[in-house]
Amino acid sequence: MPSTAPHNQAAFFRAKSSDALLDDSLQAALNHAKGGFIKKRAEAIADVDSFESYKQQAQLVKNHTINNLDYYLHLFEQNVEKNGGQVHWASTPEQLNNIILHICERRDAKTVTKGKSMVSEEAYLNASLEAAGINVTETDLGEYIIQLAKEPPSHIIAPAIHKTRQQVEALFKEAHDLGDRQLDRIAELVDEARSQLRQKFLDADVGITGANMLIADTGSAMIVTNEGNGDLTATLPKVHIITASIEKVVPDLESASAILRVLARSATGQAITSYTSLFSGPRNVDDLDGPDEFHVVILDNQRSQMLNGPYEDMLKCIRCGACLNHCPVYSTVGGHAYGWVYPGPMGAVLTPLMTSLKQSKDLPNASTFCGRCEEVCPMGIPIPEMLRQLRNQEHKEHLTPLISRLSLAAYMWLTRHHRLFHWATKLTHWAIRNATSNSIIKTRLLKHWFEARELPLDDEKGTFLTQYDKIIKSTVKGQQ
Amino acid sequence: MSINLKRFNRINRKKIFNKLERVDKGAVPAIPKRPPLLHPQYDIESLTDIFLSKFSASAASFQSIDSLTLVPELVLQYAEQHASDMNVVTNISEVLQKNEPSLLWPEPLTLHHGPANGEQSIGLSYADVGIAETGSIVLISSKKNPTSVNFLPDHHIVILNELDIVPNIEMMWKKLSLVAGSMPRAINIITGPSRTADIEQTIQLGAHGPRSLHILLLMEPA
Repeated sequence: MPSTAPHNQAAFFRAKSSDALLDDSLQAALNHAKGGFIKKRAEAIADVDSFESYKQQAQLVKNHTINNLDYYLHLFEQNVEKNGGQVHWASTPEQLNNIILHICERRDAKTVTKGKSMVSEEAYLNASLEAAGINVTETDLGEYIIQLAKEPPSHIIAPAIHKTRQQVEALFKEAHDLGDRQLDRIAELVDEARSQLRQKFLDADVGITGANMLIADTGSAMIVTNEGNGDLTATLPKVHIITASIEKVVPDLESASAILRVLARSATGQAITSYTSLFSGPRNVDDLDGPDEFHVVILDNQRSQMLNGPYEDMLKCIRCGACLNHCPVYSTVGGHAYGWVYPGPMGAVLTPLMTSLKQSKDLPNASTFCGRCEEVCPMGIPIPEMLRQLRNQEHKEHLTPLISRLSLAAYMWLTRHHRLFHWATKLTHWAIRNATSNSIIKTRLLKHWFEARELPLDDEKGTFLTQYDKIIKSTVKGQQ
Repeated sequence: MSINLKRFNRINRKKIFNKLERVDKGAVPAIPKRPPLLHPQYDIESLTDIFLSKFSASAASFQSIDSLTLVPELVLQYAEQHASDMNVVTNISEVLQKNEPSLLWPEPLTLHHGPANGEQSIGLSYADVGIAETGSIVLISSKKNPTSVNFLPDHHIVILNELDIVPNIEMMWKKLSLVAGSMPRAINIITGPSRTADIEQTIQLGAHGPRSLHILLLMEPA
């Protein structure tokens, strides 16, 4: 059994997010990225007549497919076989690794090039291949950068969004023989990666890519990229292996078109990416290039458990990353703080469901419930509601600290006793006002808290309840 | 490794499919019918204009031509302006010659046939379809269009006949009439040159695929 080493680190969300706030280059990178994706998405949406209607069509497709997942997966399998390819099924990430290792070893593979695949990140596939002595090269530029840095991706579509260009330059200097060459400009960095990876593409024995969609009707995998690395990985080696998960299947190419219309617009703000490619099997008899083996490995990894339950809508996620880009928490702490493969709002739902709620109990709480994730989700997934449900579940399963459960119980009791509650809020108001006027508390005890925040309490107006009573009284008076 | 892949596969498959059974399956017909979908509509009369306006957003360039006999000369011009050498990989010279038997490739262009191997600066292809909605060209893997030609050379020159432009993505699939069992290995919908924004969100052309995409749009005589 290969080692699938680094595990879920979501338990350290608090510590990691504190570190993230103090990490200057991370903050510089996040600040630099902030707003870029948001602006591009807004422009792309404004450019079409009705993005809402595009969303509706895409959601129709996903709702229908999720309701008939078994049928379409079966149809997909049949059609891949008709095209001369093979479908493999993996319940767990370890099984996915075993299947891929088996295929690689049968072909005596020494080198593997990889296109971007979040499913393979779930399985820590690279570690598993390397443990078996196979040389793996990530070819998506962002993935290549973080492979050199020995880090996991921090964003599902921009894996190296947390790196500054100076950090990338340092990584390239360490890994490549640059001599005296400087790589000051981004263009030079991109060119350097291009020339380094070119030979890897040509030499690789096996190419592994992800898939954005699996098309049941034609037995094809659709891959959406901008760099062209996915296509080179799928075309040059003798074996092409696709890693995908059960919810990636769609009925047919017409359905795929509806999803394409919302995917790139939501992700990078493009109407369509540079390359949208359909791979349907090994090379045909009169093809001049292409692999002679074509495999699709389909992973479950707890997804089937989401069917028929409160988190079923999460299976509609098309991994565009819009919820990450618009999340105030993600844009402040970055992706690594979330501790597992999927960061941001979608990750805060998926990580507890795919790993364990106990280990990732902070993630559902890493949200301000501002609701932007649901607003920008092309699939309309009710992420805040799901986070709320996970919080409920944590409370029920006693995963929250005893003190917070007791406080909640006490608060509940208090709110049911009106007079007492009124009195308690007045007391709190008085206490906070004292705290803000008391310089020892402000400058010593709660120094750090007050450095970043204010407590603008209005002495005149009093508590919310006092103000409320006043308004009600004056309205009643007015009506008389 | 000692796993029996077939047996392993059968067991996993059963495990997964058992869990996929819907609780309310009774209401779902055996062969599910996908709800009808709407497609964006475009004016058939102005497909070429729509194609060109969408296409310009993708950082690709184009020239219109009224005859295929111009192709070799234009490839030479492009190579002289942009390419680092005069090697062209293409498998469509027969197609061009069929229309114009006396077609000559000017020196110093050197033509290579077969798949690309990374040693040619220019790839020359003939697009199967164009999509007005997105300004994309579509290339289907075949003897005439090995996929490597679309991705390995530094510059990709693609001929597109304006009569092959369809309004939207769905019409493209329809035109190709694809059926499982006789699928082309690869279909590439290409919209502009290769690009990346993986370093500091700055768009840079020519990540791994072509640094430039140039379309020769074959216009029908008005």
